[in-house]
Amino acid sequence: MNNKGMSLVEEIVALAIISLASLIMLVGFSTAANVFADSTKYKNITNEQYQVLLNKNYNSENVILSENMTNATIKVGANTFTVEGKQRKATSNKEMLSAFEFETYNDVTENQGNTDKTLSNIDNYIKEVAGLKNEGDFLTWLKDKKGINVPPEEAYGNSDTKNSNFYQHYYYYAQGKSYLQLDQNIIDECNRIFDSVHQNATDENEKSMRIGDKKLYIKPVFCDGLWQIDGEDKTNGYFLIASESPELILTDKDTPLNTKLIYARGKWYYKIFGLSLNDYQNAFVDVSKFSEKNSGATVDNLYNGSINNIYLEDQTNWAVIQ
Amino acid sequence: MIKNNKGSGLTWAVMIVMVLLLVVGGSLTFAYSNYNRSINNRNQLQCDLYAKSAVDAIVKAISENNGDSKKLIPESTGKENAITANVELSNIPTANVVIYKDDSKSYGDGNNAKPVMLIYIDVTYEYNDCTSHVQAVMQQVKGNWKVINYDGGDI
Repeated sequence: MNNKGMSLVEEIVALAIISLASLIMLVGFSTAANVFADSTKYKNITNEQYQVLLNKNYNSENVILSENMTNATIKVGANTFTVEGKQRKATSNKEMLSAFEFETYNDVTENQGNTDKTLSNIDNYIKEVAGLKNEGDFLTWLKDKKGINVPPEEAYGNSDTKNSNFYQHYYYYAQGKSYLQLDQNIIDECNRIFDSVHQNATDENEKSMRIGDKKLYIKPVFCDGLWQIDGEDKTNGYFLIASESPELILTDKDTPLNTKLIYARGKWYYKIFGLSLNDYQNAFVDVSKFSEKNSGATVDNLYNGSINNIYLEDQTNWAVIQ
Repeated sequence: MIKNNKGSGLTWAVMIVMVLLLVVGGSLTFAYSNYNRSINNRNQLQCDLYAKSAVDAIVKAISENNGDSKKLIPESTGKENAITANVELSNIPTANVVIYKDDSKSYGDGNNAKPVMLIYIDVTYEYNDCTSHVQAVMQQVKGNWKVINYDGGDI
């Protein structure tokens, strides 16, 4: 039997090889682990930044959101013009993810307090335009004070509904946003009332009258023309409605402006209708004629039933929301 | 015959070390490819966001419905009559935009069918070796142009 072991030199060579191999493997595995960790961190921070960009209210300890006003320059042939917008930046320790935001009327703002905000917007609008004598003055004022040039053919639309057009120009062009959603608590209350009246609804038409999770937009209806309410009791000169279309402008004076909700004198009123099939036509009212010039419409008419069969004080047809 | 295993220790050691080194090499390759993919995904996301931003700028310009808007709306339908435009956003590369009108779609049945006028806004954007194509479709409703659909990109 050969009991000879390895010589010292062989031992040293073997140890050296093992050490070198171990070292290489240690470095290799630790590098791989670090790269993996970096990769995961990178992926997570990107996701977090994207969430912050999408949702202002997203809470993140690692990402800071900043916004600054900016312009986009559009070049078409020899023509160059700009649109205003915002640049949003989601920044972490190392990296920044960025997006630009150009709000259009499709954009939706916070879903609470929009009734008050709309009233405040209208007050500001009336204050600003109260001294103007006619439509031409309005367009000149819009151009001089706000830098907005609205071609006359686009400014007036239907002359009977020009107040809505002007309000739209004032808020949409001047402030970039004019359409606000109806407050969610109002919608919730309307749904609750609908459910209590129509709890056994089986007919699809009847069920479709429920607001549910539809978006409704608040907009003013100026009675009898804005220029007519100048100097008079302004609270009697306009009221609010909420409907699914965000648009204010009526291109055709015969277009119905149907609504289930009217806001007047500090309260929202919700139209209640009965259970028979013939009652569906009573699920809403048309207020389009109120804006016609010299229509004689006022908010008072909403409470005395003298126009369009609207009688807000009739609690069997109109539920008070707030 | 007795098998002689003397002297095979070193061969075994070298083989094991080689296998382990292969495992280390494989792990490193996988880790780096994962890392590169994360970076590419991030670049692609940023590219998509900028492309969408350029589309939004055009959408806003068209929906403002003023004198400038008309310059962005082709007079005739078809891709051959498309308008090309550039959108410059602050400190990032310019986006190339192609805008064309289409009336090939309709609503209603039979004789009652009415054409639907649409505007297609195609943006091609290149950023950090990534390319993004985003399209928005706008429809004219009561004289105003509204976005009805976005397509393309991953966002």
